[in-house]
Amino acid sequence: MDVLDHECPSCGANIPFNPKTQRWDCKYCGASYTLEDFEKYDKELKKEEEKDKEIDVEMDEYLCPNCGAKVITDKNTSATFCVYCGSTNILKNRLQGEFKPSKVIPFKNTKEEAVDKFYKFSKKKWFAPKEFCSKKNIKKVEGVYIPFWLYDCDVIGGIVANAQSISRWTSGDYEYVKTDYYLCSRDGSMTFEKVPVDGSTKFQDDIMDSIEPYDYSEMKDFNASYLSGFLAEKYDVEKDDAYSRAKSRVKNSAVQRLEENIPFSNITLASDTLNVQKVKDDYVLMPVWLLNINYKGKMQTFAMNGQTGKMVGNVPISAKKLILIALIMEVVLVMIFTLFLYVL
Amino acid sequence: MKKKNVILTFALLMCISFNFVFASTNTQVRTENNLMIKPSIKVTEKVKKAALSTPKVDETEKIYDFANLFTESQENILYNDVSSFINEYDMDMVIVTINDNNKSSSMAYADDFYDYNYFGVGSTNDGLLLLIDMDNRVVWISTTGKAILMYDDARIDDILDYVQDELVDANYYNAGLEFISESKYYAEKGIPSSNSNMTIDKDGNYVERFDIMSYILRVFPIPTIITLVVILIGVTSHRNVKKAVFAKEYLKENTVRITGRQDKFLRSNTASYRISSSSSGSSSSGGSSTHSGSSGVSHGGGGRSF
Repeated sequence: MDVLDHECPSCGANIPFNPKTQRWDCKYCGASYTLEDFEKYDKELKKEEEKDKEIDVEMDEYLCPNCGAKVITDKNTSATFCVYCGSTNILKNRLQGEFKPSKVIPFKNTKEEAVDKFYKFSKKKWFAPKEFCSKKNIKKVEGVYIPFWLYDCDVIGGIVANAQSISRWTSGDYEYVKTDYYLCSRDGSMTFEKVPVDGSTKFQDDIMDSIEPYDYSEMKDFNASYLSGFLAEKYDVEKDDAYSRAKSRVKNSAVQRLEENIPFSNITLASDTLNVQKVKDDYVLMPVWLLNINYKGKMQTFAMNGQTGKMVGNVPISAKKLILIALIMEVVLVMIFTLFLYVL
Repeated sequence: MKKKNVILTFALLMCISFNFVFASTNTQVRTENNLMIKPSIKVTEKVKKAALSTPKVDETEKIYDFANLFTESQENILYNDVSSFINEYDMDMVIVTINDNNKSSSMAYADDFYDYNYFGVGSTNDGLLLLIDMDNRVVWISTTGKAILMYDDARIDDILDYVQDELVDANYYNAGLEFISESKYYAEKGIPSSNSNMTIDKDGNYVERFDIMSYILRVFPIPTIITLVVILIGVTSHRNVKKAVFAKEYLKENTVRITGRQDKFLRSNTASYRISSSSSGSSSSGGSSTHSGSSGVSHGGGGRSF
C-alpha cells in the first residue's frame, strides 16, 4: 500500500502542514517549504515509485513508512498517524482515482485555538454548567479533512402561491380590516453554486451543516501535502445519494426566492413546477476540528470550522443556573417596576 | 357721678361677659416665636404667614361663630350634637362662621383653620369642618384624614345640597343641624365603596390601598414575560446544531431571472370590529378629590355658593 509520508526534503523528518503560516515547516531542521517546492520534490519521487506499483488496494492495514509497524485503519481513512511512532501517514491510494478530491480548503486554525474556542464558546452560554466549561472535559481533539460534495445546480420553473393584502382603517367606533386574496404565479430561473453536502457517514449531517459556510475563495487545488499532520477521510456516500439533500435545500431556497418577489403577505405555496438540475459536482475536503467532550460520562461531539473558526455543539443547560438567573431577573425587574409604578 | 361710674363699669363688665358667653369667640394671640401649631407641621415662611393670619382658638369649643349667626341656645345644641358625633365616630367636627375672610378662598380659610388649631382625632387628625363664609357667601366642607375616605365627592355633594338649601333661606342654625345629621347618616353607613381600595397613609395623604392581589397583577406580568423571553432566547442559543433546510447563501443573486409574474385577484373580504371605548380610565368610580393646604396637609371636601 502506498503511503505518502511527508518527509522534509532536506532532513527527512516528518513535516506537517502549518495552518498559521500556510506552509510546511520542519521542526527539526527549521526548513520551510511552499506547495511549489513540494510538487517539484514529489515529481522526482514519483519516477522511482512507479516502478513498484501497489497491488492490494482495499486493505485496512498498511505499513508505517517511518517505523515499519503494521497499522490498522478505518477503511475510509486517507490520512492518519502511526499509532507506534506518531508520524503522519497519508494513504495515497485512498486519494486516487475517483477518490481524488479536486479541491481542498487548508486548515487555518490550530488545535490550541480549537481548544480555546471551545472554552470561550461554552462559557458564553448563560446556562452552561460551570463544570462543563472546562478544558479538562475535552477528551480528544482531531483536525479532520472531511469529504464534502459540492453541487452546482440550475433551477428552472415556477411557483403558484396564495397571498393576501391586508389594509386597516378606522371610521367612527369601528376598525375595518380588508383582506384581498390573490393567486400569484412566478416563473424564473436561478443558479446555486457549491452547495455542500457531507460525504461521510461517520459524521453527523446536522453538525456538518451547522459549521457551514466555508469561504470558497480560499479553496486550493488538491494536494496531499495539505493533509500532513491531520486526519482525512474519503467519502462513503456516493455523489448521487448525497445529491438529494442538496436538491431539497436548493428547491426550498428557490421557492423562497420566488416568493420574495410577491408583494403581498401571508404567502402560502400552492404548487410548484421547479426543476432542479445538477450542473456540476465536486469532491472536496474541508477542514474540521472535532472535539470529543466527556461530560458526566456522556460523550458529546463539538465541531469547529477549520477555516472560519465557527464552533457548533449543544452546550448542556444547568437547571439550577437557569432557575437562578430567571429568579434574579424576575426579582430585579419586579423591583424596577414597583419603583416606577409606586414610588415615582 | 360715682353711681353713674359704677353703673357704666357694671354695664361694661356685663357687656364683656355677655360677649364671652354668647359668641365664645375668644382667641389667643400667636407670635412669630410662638405659632401654637401642631408639631407635625413643618414650619416654613409660608406656614408662618398662614398661621399668623389664622385665629388660634380653644379647640374644645367646636362651634366658632365669628359671624354671630347663632343664638347662645342654638350654639349649645349644635355643640351637644357635634360632641356626640365626635364621641360616636372617632372623627372631629368643627363649625365655623366668618364675616371677613382674610385668605384667598373659603377653602384656604377652612383648611388653615383646621390645620393651625389642635383639631383632629388620631395621628392623621381625622375630622371635618363646616365653614359658612359670609364674606364670599360660600359654604365649604373640609375633610381631613379618615374623613376624606368617609366623605367621598358624592357624599360631600349630598351634604352640601341640604346645607345649601337652608343657607339660601338664611337658616344658618338649620344648616348647621343638617350638616351634623347628614354627616352622621353617612358615618353610620361606613366608608363608601368608591373608596374601598383607598386609604390614608401615615402622613394623612389619600392614597391607594396596598392590595397584594392588585399589586401582583399590576407589577408581575411584564417582568415575567420579559424573563420568559430572555430565558427562551438563552435556551435556544444552547442548541445550535441543526440540519440545514435552505441553501440561500449559495444562490448567485445575479443569475436570478424572473420570467413570468401574474397576480390574479380572487376576492376581497372586509371585517369590522367595534373599538372598545375603554379610554385610559384613571378613577373609575368617583372616590374623593383631594388637595393640600398651606400646611401641606391633605384635605378633601367641597363647597357651594349660597
